[in-house]
Amino acid sequence: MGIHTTAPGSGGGGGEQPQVGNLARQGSVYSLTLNEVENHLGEPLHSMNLDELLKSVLPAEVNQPIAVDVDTASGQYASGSGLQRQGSITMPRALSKKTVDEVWRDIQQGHPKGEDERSLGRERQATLGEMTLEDFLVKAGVVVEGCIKDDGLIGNIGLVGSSDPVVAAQDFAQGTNWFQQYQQMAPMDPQQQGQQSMMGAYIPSRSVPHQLCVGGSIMDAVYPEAQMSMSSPTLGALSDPQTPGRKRAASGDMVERRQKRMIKNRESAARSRARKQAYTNELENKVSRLEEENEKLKKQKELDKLLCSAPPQEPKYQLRRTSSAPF
Amino acid sequence: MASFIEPLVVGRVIGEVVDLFVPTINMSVNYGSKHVNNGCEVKPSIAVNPPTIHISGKRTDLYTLVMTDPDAPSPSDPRMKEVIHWLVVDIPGGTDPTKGHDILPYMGPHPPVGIHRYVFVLFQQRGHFPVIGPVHTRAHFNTRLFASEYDLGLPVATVFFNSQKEPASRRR
Repeated sequence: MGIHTTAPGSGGGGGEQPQVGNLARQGSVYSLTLNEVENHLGEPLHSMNLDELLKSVLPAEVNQPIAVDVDTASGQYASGSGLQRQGSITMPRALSKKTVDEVWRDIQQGHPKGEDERSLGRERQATLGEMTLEDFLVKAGVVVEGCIKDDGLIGNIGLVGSSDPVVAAQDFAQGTNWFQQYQQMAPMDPQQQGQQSMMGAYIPSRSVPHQLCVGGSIMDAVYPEAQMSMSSPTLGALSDPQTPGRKRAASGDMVERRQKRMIKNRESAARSRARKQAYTNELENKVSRLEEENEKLKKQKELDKLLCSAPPQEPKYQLRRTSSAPF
Repeated sequence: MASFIEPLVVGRVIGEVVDLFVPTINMSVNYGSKHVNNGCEVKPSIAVNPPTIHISGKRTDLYTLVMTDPDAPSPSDPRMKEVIHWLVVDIPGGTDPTKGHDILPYMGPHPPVGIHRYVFVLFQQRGHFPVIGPVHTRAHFNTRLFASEYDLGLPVATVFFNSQKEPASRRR
């Protein structure tokens, strides 16, 4: 279950690599168990709305209004901020208002909302708390399948690949994730179990997997180079509100310029690091050399002291050999 | 001994200006009271005049000193690399450049943009330096090429420092 690093797909379900205490690591958020989430949040989850739960789990940057998507046109990201941060979580209106408790009850009742039956009996966890966030959401139908008639893409949740085909029931295919292009993975066979996920992609089994990434930060961390250029148009728009590039007409130019700037910046940073390191190196070497020399000189001094007192000295003014007593 | 050149490698002096070599001569460069350690920062204002340099080596050997700037005019865009700042030949071992022949007079650092490296490279000559015409331009110098042209071989000592433009206005 790759989180930030490579780890080609382990499609293992949740619960791996608990990054407890660091919910900011978004790729792994969903693999935390609810217990851990609760601990982290410091408050009981049970009575929270799903809305609140998700808001609190996801760090500020994925701070979109959790769009309620029921009938959005297919292929759209419910949150109009699709251009901004991916990973807005949308969930059916019905669900968001429910509390965790209620949802849990639903789950235990066997997904009366019409989720894919395959889910039954497979991932049912003994207790709510042990269930991972991911599974919980899945079951809750945040990533909804049948309960919402609409096939519109609902959850742009970057979840670590789940082997649970259940989840798949979405038609992710419709959400042409413009981030998909940023992912280096080719669309995979829908039925494939071993999902590869570099970024924590949530891969439905039925449709072309969309590898989504919650929060631009992961992207930045993992694929700084490869994706920078591609993400720049979008992230750039966010991060650089003053440039005229907002007008789409000139955006091509802006993109290039920005790319160049980024490369230049990176090189400059590398140079700066090299500079710093070189100097540090030099000083360290110097220090160790000086220390050695110091030691040597000290020893020499000791030695000299000893040597000086040992040998008998002939009185200088002695002209003849006499048997003078040694000192 | 590797520790002597490691800063040169990290600072990319070895690689960009010279090739990997083994230092055999000690060279100490001082701008006034400031001793130049690899990678240290030297303000252009104190480097206006040539530094005091002392080299080891046998009195009978002759050495060539090159001072060059591989980051001209800007480290991110070194179009003019390298710019040679000083060229002294026929320096007897154990002495300093004043005892040598100043082919190209010393020019202090004046980096227009960015932080530049200034590298002192010392070569051991095989014999007396041949007479060469005046150097026409300081820009587009190439230390490696120069060394091969005059059969100087690999350097015997190298040291470099960083320098950047000082802020123009002083708060008074």
